[in-house]
Amino acid sequence: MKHAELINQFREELSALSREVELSVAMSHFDINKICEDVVCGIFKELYGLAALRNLNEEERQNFPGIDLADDDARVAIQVTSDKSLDKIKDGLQKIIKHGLHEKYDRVIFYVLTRKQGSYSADSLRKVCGENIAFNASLDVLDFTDLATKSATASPQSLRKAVDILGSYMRGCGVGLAVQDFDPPSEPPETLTANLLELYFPQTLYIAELLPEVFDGKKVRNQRKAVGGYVRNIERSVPSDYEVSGGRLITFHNLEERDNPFAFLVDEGTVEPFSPSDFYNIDADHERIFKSLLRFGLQQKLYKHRVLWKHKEGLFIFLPIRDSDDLRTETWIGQKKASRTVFHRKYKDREPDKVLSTRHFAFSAGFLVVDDQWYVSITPDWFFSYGDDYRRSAFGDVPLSGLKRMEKNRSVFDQFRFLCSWLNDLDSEDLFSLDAATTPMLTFGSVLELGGAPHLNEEFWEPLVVADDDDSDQGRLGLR
Amino acid sequence: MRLEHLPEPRLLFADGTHICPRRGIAEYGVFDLTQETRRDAVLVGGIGTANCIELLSKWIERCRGVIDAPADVKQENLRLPFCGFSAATGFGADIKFSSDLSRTLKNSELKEILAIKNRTERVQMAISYYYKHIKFLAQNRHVDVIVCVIPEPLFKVIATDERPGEETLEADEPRHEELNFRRALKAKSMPLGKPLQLVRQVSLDKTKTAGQQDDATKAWNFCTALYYKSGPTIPWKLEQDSSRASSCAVGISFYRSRDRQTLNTSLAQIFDELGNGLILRGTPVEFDKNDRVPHLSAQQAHDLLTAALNEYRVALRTFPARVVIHKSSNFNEEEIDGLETAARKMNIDAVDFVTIMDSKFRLFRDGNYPPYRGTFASFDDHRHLLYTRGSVWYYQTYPGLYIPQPIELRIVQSEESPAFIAKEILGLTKMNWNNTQFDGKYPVTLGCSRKVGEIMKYLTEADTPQIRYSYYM
Repeated sequence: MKHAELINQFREELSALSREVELSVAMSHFDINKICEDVVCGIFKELYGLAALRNLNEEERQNFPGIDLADDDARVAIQVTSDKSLDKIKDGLQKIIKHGLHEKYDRVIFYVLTRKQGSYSADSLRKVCGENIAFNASLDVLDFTDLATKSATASPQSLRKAVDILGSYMRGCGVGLAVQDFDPPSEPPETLTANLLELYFPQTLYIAELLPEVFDGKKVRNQRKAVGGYVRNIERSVPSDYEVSGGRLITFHNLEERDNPFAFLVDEGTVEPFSPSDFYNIDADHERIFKSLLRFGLQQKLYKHRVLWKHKEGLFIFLPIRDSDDLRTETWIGQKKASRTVFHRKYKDREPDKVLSTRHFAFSAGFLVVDDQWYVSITPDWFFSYGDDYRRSAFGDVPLSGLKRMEKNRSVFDQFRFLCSWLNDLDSEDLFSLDAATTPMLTFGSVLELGGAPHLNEEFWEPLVVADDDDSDQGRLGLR
Repeated sequence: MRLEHLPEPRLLFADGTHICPRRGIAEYGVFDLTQETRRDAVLVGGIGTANCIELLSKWIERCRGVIDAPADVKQENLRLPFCGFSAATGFGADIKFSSDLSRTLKNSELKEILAIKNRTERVQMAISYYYKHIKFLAQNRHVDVIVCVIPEPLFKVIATDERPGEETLEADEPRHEELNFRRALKAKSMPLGKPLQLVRQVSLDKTKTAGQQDDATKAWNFCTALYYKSGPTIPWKLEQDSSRASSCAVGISFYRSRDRQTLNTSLAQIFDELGNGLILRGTPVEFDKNDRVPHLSAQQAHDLLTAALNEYRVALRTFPARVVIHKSSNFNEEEIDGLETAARKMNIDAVDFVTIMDSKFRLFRDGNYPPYRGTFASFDDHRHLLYTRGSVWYYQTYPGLYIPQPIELRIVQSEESPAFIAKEILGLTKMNWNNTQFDGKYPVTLGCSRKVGEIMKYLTEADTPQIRYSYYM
């Protein structure tokens, strides 16, 4: 709890101050008493509600007799001292009476900057005070332990301010001006998770020349599209996990097998097996082609599991298991078993046969090689559609923006972890499917974690709230 | 893959350094207090209805003194009290506004505009009325900056909403030829040589608080922008390592015509040693239908950098030893060739090429708060991820709405280390004088270019654009 931490912080800072005063006094550096008057003034103001407390040595005159601080409204006077002895208390009380201050103040407090004595002789003090001052040493002689006790019942706002006053003193400058305020401490380090999931693909890539009739001798700009057109024209079909470049077909399907699905498209004598790394390491263009092949491979894999690639938006979107379904949920195991709605079609209240909104859980995927390991980057997203073929709804921008404003780091991280879990589950599902033996599959491994980030203890920060508008720019002040 | 945390870059003020513009101005004074030739008074012109002028006058009066932070503020460093705009405070200058510096938009004129049914005609009429008054003030009064207050009834019928959502480097895509009141008015008034500040009436009205920033934050942003716009003034600059050779940053970006039918035009922003941005318009570039990314020809790249470096030389009477070029899309060989040739001709020792783009990569913390601003991850020597928005230790919060999107740095060629390049970029995110919150998403080399392009596209080929950013912000 943040309040408990503030109390601890307050006690530690006070205790450090007390030690510092002890050392300074031992070295005969008595200036520290003067400096501490303002610190004590600020703390008493906050913790004891002495709103009008002021430093008399600054506001009235130097070496004000008997007392250092006073709140004339509350009729309380405070002497700040590093001397904890009974003589010092007696001397102070005598001065107060001598200067008639007891008529102005009902209560006198001695604040001992070091550690007060275990007890003070009540008789001696009574003799000094007589009828002038009602002084009780056990209540009116205080040190940092008393302030620490008092801090436990202070409001969080007052305590925060008291901690800031101490912090400012200890650092030698105001809150917000110290170097410690600028950057987070590096210790203890924290681990971050990248949105990167290990990706595995077959160890052999096959490349073969396309038959001349596929392009019919024409120069074709988008060769893959042309191959698709040719296949449809002759009323055949091929899997979608292939790429075409320079008149050659590139795929993980074994083109050396006679009954491979591309046999009618390629020149059998030109088939060459490649190590994928020998291909994608050639240059940036080959890496781009390889990434494109991976994307087609992922599309092919996910399509079977009712996740559709939306090319224009660059998103994979979850579809209902059957088109007529209004809801799709997926279960997954993170820290515990949970279910997540990945498709939801809602109807209008007043016209129950009309669709109000269709929301898809979605994600974008990119491919990246780091230190010879391939990863797929997964960025969770949402998609609003209309119609039977799930076209993008222009009306979805507003709820989409609202939805994203509600999301915090944790919720998006959970979405990412769900997707990783779901993709990994597909691997085991696909393993036992009928076409597993003949279809080259992309499979997934672990997520990438990175150590060495500075620590952020959220317990000590305010909980994040959903802000009502963007105030990071001048948008609200000026016209855009 | 490696992870490190970059410290928050320091800003230089008159009498000290700090990471936060607000605290820096309040404690140490605006940077150019160190310059003898600075102006010690800012003369503000005002245009609006009688009611608007009255509200503006009261608001400026409030801005002269301290404005407290909201009472229940939790993040004290984020919601700092406003220090006041006066000769005795951090701004070190008086703000002057009076009835002879104001021009009143008549209620009958306002009614006339509101009565027009056609939106285009309505916006054009509004521009024409405001322009008439701007021209009068610019030509007949001593004003440094002109504040145009927009009454709410007018705002509702002439303002074009921005695309909702996150800030991106890509431009909006209007479906028809755009006519935006703010952009068109700024472009039309540009030759008059007086920067404009547009303000909604509701922002000045003390009684209207719904959906408004707190007054102190409003005053920080309003006053800092006015101070910068009022003349060759510098509220803060980046702390430089004096042991390093002089370097300057150039941002290259593109914008399209208002109807989006014609070519992309290139734009360069070059920054002098004070962090002052000078803006240059390049020539239209060919758009390859097979490539969504516009590219400069070698000659265009050469000419754009040559013009930018010549402006730098005029400003500082010397060429920098190093130039770092930021571009919001990948460089092709032609561009690198043209830019390098230009730099070589001017005997520039080192040219670094960095592509800065929005990234699909993310880093997650195990909690509600996102990673810290300054989190820097390297995939390899050339490709990196930088969180310019994120949790901020100094603010003790994440001051954003959406989960932060890091930027991706692709270092094509550089003599400096990736961490140096990233630190430089993090520093340049703090150099937007239109905003006093220090965690900008993009470096100023690219972050302002979208806003500059939005106004630049209203200028014809024959118009000479102003080179200071104050005319575009």
